[in-house]
Amino acid sequence: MRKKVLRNSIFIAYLAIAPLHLVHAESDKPKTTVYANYNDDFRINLSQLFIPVINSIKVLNADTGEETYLRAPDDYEIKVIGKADDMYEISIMKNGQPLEGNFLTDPQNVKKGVNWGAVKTIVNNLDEIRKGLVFEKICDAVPVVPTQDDHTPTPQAGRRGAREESLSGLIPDTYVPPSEGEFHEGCEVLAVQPINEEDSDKLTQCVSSIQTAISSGNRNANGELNREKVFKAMFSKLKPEEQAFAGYIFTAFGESDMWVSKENPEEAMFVMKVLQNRKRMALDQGANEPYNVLDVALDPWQFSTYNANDPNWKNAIDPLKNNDYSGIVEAFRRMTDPELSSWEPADQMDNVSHYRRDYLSDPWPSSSNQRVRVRPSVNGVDPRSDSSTRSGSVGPSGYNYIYTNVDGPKHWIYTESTRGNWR
Amino acid sequence: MKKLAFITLLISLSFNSYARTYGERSSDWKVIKGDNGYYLKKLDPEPKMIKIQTIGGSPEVQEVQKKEEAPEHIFVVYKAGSAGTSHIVTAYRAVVFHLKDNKFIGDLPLKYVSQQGKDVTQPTWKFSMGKLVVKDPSSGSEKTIDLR
Repeated sequence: MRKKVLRNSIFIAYLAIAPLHLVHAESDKPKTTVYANYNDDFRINLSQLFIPVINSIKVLNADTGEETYLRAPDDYEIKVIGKADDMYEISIMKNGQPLEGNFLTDPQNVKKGVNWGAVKTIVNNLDEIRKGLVFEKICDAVPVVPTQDDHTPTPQAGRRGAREESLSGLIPDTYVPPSEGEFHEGCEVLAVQPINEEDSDKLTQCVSSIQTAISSGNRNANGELNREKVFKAMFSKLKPEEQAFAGYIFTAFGESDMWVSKENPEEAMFVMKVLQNRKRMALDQGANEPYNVLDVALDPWQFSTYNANDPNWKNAIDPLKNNDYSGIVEAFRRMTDPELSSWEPADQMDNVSHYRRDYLSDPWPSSSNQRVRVRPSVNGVDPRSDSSTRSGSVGPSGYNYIYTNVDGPKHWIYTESTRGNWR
Repeated sequence: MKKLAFITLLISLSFNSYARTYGERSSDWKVIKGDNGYYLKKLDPEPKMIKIQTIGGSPEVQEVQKKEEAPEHIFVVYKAGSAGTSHIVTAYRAVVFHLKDNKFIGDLPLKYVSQQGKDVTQPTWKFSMGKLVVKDPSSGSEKTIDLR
């Protein structure tokens, strides 16, 4: 209980001393904020803190539709994370551990269930807090700063210089797995980022090693890759850093145009940016770890390259195709270095979650979600532009329309149950 | 007095019967947009809600289906959004609901439709021995629902 009170003290103190910061955070990341009026002069942002449950309350498990009770003696805490119709969406902790799932409850339950007495005690101390007596402690504990993805190189990848070759004359699999815990050949450079230009050859070697690893033993009698087996092998045979790398490289290869090159990797970088954004959005929405860019890439139907009847996933993954990955690898390398991947407009680009080819009918009506169409640039180059990188020609696979807010303020709504079962 | 009791019984039965059949029309269902996702709500004096899925964009209720193999259940079909970059696919899913028990049983992939009219790998539904097994090769998933 002391721990809980301390944690809540910190949150409430944070609210008291940093209201301007909070307003700023809300404008950066629009979402409904739920307040409770403590009295006429003071309101509490319920979206910011877990509050102990001291009276048993009824909640709805939105994954099953079943109602359940949070019994007061069982050490529950709840936090309001949004609204749905006339209900609150809540997160629940039991014994200090988050409960999996999605939950709803009536606002009245929040009012009657939580420990307002504890809150009151804290509020009574606000004057001291405002004087800065616990300022250092608060600063240590409260701000949640998004961390750079360790092994996920920042987004974008270059495009292939595809040299498709016949599958005739199949070579036998010669895959030798690395020792446990070791990287596949060439992939060791993924461990430290940003990646230097001198290591580009290593990255190319890593692509090749990964292709061999995930295709080995996963062909049918005709020598064609088995989609389900290959997708599963991407998780089972690769280290997390290699999984993310594979997600970036193969998606960018399949999704971007053939003009992507080492000199002009921008379109591939754009695809990687979308992957990177979606990963962050999914984690923000509670995607269960381990979750990385490969999960994002292989999420069914999202990136058309990976559709079962689309030949591009095989083109991207099959080592027998002998593709030129130099442009894609360069895009990946640049994405690991913030100085080589400067996006404009920066605020919009961090929220881009969807794109589609221009020849497709618009599947995401903008009326209800305030969808925004973005015109991006990276390092001053429009990644969609034909004129800057393709001598004014328009690619046969079209031009991308790029969006934020397709699913409202969350941009892209991550759902566990529609995620692929490849792990 | 007997008459009054009889009328009361009739009214009560009538209300009970009404409650059990609530949900059979698509207008009995509504999609609610929350801050953290979408929900299917049964518009009932005692509403029921369940979180539903989208692969991109807002879901919409399409129709309520009944199936011979599961006479006590209804299948609330909803459009579960669209996704894709060079090939747009719209997903349709079905929330399985047990009318008598007033209970959600599951949320299953039903079909996929290509905007460009291409062939798309479809989920398979198989009813057997009081169970429904749904396999979806696009996501590698397999789900079994007990219908008894």
